[in-house]
Amino acid sequence: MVSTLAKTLTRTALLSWIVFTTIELAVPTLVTRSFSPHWFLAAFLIGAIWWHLALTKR
Amino acid sequence: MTRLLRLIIVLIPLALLVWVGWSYLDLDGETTIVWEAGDVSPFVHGLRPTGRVEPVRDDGNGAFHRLSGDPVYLSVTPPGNYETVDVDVWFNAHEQPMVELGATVNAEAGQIDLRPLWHKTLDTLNWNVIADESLVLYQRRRVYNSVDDLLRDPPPLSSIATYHTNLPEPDAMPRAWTSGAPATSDVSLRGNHEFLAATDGRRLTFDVMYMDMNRNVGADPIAVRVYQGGELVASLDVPDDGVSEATNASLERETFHVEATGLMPGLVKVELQANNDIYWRTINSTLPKMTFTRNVFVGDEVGYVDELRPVTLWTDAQHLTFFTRHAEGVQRITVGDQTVDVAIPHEHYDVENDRAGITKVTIPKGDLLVVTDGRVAFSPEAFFNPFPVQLDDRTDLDKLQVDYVIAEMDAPRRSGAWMVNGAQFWMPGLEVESSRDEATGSQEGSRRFVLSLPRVHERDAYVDIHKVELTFKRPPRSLADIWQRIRRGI
Repeated sequence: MVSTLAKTLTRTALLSWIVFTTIELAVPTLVTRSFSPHWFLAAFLIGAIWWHLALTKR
Repeated sequence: MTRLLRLIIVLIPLALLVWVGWSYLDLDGETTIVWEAGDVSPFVHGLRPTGRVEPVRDDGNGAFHRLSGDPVYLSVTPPGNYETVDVDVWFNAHEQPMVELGATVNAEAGQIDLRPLWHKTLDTLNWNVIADESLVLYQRRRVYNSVDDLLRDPPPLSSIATYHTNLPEPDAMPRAWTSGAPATSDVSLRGNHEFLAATDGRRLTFDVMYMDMNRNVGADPIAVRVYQGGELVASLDVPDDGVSEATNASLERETFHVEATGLMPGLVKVELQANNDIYWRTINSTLPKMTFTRNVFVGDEVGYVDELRPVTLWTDAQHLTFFTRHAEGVQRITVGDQTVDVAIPHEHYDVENDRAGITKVTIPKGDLLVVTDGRVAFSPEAFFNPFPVQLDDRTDLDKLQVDYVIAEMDAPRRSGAWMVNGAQFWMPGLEVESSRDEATGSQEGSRRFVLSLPRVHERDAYVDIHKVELTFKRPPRSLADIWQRIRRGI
């Protein structure tokens, strides 16, 4: 269960980071006026570590 | 439970994506951005240059930056495509009599669309005040009931001052401006100059004798432009003499003739455009008036005449600055009854005229740049000023015997300890910055606003800026409009 959540978080966060960063590059300040897309990068890293730990514990 | 958590993880970025899309569509057509001193904003890139802006501080009334130099830039990245922007500034001026806000229209040409924020003279003027649509009429003693009344039966021009507005040009030129002997100038003038004449409909012709002194490297072309009512009525282009090296050789005396026909009664503006290698030796006009606008550069006469000739000019300027680049230009200038020693080359010598009206200025040796806040002629007969007094940060209304001020300006309002005023700018008319520049804070795609604080440094004055609010506007659109656009796009 934990591994599934970590996987979802990792994939979703990475995809979101790519999408929002691309939008920001295309239309400057459209995303950053509301939030920083880099939060998704942080979420991706957390997810990846979580996923890795879940796999190594198994 | 796991499914719910996974759903939440996926829904969060989706919700944010919808939010970002909604922001982008901006259906109401209005977006407001607020920047306070010390904020880091994706839109407002702070006040620059840092040498004129003190670090943020707070004395209990909110954070602010103290500005002690002029001008100060504020680069702003618009949040999208908008037609207008309303810029409101929260500020306080200390010992600074005038604060203006501008937007850069053309940085290279120095074109800035300036609007008033605060003028101490108007704010403290204890005169009769009549607000008439966008104009405000201040009268020392109430004579007129509206600006229209004043324009119908105007007092003498010298008794009117204007601020950020222009009076309409009269339909007929006063006879005193259009009759008399033709104006001539035999003063050696150097580089760009601009003069005004008045015609009753008679054609204007003028003959110019000039010399290309070739003291600097590069071509020295000449462009002459004659305007009436903002329209070009005559022009002439004279190519370089073929010498582009700095030979320092004084070449032939050249002449050209310009003729403007089909003129209406009114003012005519003549621009003599050239670099500092071109010396205008004589200008002979067929019209009786010839007053130069603001600055004249009286050149040396090396290679033209052997003996030094003093230059006498007449001006209504209240403030003059003298400057010479050469030791030969060191001299004692007479301004009315005052004398000014121009003692060191490359130093600026400022003088405040102690009298109103036309003042005689004598320059014994020439070779002097004269910067004025008025108009200049080389004979009292050629002098005329067809414009009212223009109110600036140094205008003394009592000394100039001004009885009426017409201003296009909203009075600032109070917000706590701060004064608030602003202006609206048309976005497509503003220059789009193309590169990042630390000195001005500009970013690619940003627009540059300017806080103009004339002579703030000389006065040891300062202006505190607390907040800037920018409201971008365009017509609202509905989802149906957007759908139509998408369909059209497809």
